[in-house]
Amino acid sequence: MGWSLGTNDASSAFGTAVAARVIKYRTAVIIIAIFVILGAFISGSHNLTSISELAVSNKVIASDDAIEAAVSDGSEASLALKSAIKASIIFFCAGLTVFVMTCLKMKVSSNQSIAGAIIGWGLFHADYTDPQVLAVNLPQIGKFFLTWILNPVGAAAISFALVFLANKFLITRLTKLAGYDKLIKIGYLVAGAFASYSIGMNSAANVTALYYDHINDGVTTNLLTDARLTATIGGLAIALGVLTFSKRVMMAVGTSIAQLSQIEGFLVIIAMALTIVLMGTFMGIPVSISQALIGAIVGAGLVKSPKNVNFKILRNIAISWVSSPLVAGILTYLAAWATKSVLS
Amino acid sequence: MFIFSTKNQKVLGCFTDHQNDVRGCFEKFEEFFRLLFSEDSPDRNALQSLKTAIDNYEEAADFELRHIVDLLSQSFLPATRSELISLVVSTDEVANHCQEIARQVYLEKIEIPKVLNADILEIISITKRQLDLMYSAVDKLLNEYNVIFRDRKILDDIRGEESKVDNIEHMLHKRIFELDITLCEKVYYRTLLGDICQISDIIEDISDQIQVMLVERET
Repeated sequence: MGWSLGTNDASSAFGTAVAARVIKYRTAVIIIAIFVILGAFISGSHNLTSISELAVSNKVIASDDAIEAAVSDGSEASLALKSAIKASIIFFCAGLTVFVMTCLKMKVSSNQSIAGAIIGWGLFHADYTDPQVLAVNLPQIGKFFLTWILNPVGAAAISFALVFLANKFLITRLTKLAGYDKLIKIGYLVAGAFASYSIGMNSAANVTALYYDHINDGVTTNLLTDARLTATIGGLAIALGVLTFSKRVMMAVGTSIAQLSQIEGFLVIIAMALTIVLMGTFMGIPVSISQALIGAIVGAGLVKSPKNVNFKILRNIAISWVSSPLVAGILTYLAAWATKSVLS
Repeated sequence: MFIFSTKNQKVLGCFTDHQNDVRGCFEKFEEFFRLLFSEDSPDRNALQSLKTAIDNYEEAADFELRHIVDLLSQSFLPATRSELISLVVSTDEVANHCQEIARQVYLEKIEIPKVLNADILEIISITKRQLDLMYSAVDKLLNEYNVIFRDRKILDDIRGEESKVDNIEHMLHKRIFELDITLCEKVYYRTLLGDICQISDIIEDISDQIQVMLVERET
């Protein structure tokens, strides 16, 4: 999962800069790898808790009560094994969703697929007809859905503000063409590094949250118990994807937003990164990087005129909102049904 | 606002040197035609020394061009680099054309019908004005980027001058074919006229290149 996030999502940090030959591919991947790991190490644990809580309330990760019961009857090892298998099933279903929908050329979000996969598991195993379960789960799910809307909308608003301010105050102060070039180069480096940091912060949780146990009274039934270490492992997995297999996607991302000017290009990336960091800091929920990017592109286009915006790309976000969690949820629901006798 | 590398400053310095060489070349080209049209049989030695001066300026411009291309390989972003190379190569074309035309007129001892002289000199004067406008536009692009980014009237002015040259060219074309000379001579003068007017077209192309550079940087 981390490797595929690295090959896909992390490419948005430097795609435009590499495609426009502002920064060499090799330099870009090294910067991405370093800042993804830093983002995961410094701030990655922000998002771990929300995914972990969602996983607990949807019976993917063992709850306090389940652990206590396992300790009392000496079945911690069996519970730990079940937790690992459940996490693997969730990742497999989320990964399969991304793979199949990508093959079908449908828009998909890996972040939303994981959330959908966890909820799908919970719909089978957690009793959603129980008002107590609903009281815990619905606010959590609502928070996830809220961030899915806030993410592109926030990115569009931030991007609009940045491009508007740049037009008003920055371009009028550029006296030399060489200064313009310098601004572009520095702008893309800063934006790329910041975006890499935000991706590390955002996505590391997706990679390892299900192996993390935040309930820790001396007994654990999961592989990892240290939040920072857990997030850093996720960051390392993403960095590996960037370093080994990101060129093709990076070039594709770069050319897909080529209709933007170079200044807009790096401002859009800064807006995307800022949105992701704000979402992680204030909501504690990992969001879709591609949706933040699309939102930021739309926001930049709105500065000139709404006519410049291809509103069809918003339809892609809407499709992704519905299809990614739905398909992943159905897959895990079916997997939960198939493994009921073993993992209940 | 920004600290510039010495390499970029060197490139800008060479741009100015190249422009000065091309300007010198065109000034000698203008002198060449004024001398050619001044007397019934112009002084061949004076014409030759002007032709040599044109050659020298053209050679100096070529040298600066190569220097700029070398320096550009280590400065500016790749996209800007190729735009600037294209700009300086086009500017160099002005000097190349001046040299070719002066050489042709001198070596082939062309005697241009007097009825065309005043208008040809007018074309050269307009082209010189156009060249000065183009230098100003390039200077603004390199050193007053914010000014030309907001106000592109200078580029329209360059195109306006080219239209004037175009009108005179059409008028002269018609006049040449009304002259009582052989068809071969008519075609010969028309070709020479086309070559002289080509310089104005090159300058207009340079203004278009500047326009494209600005549009590509628009947000």
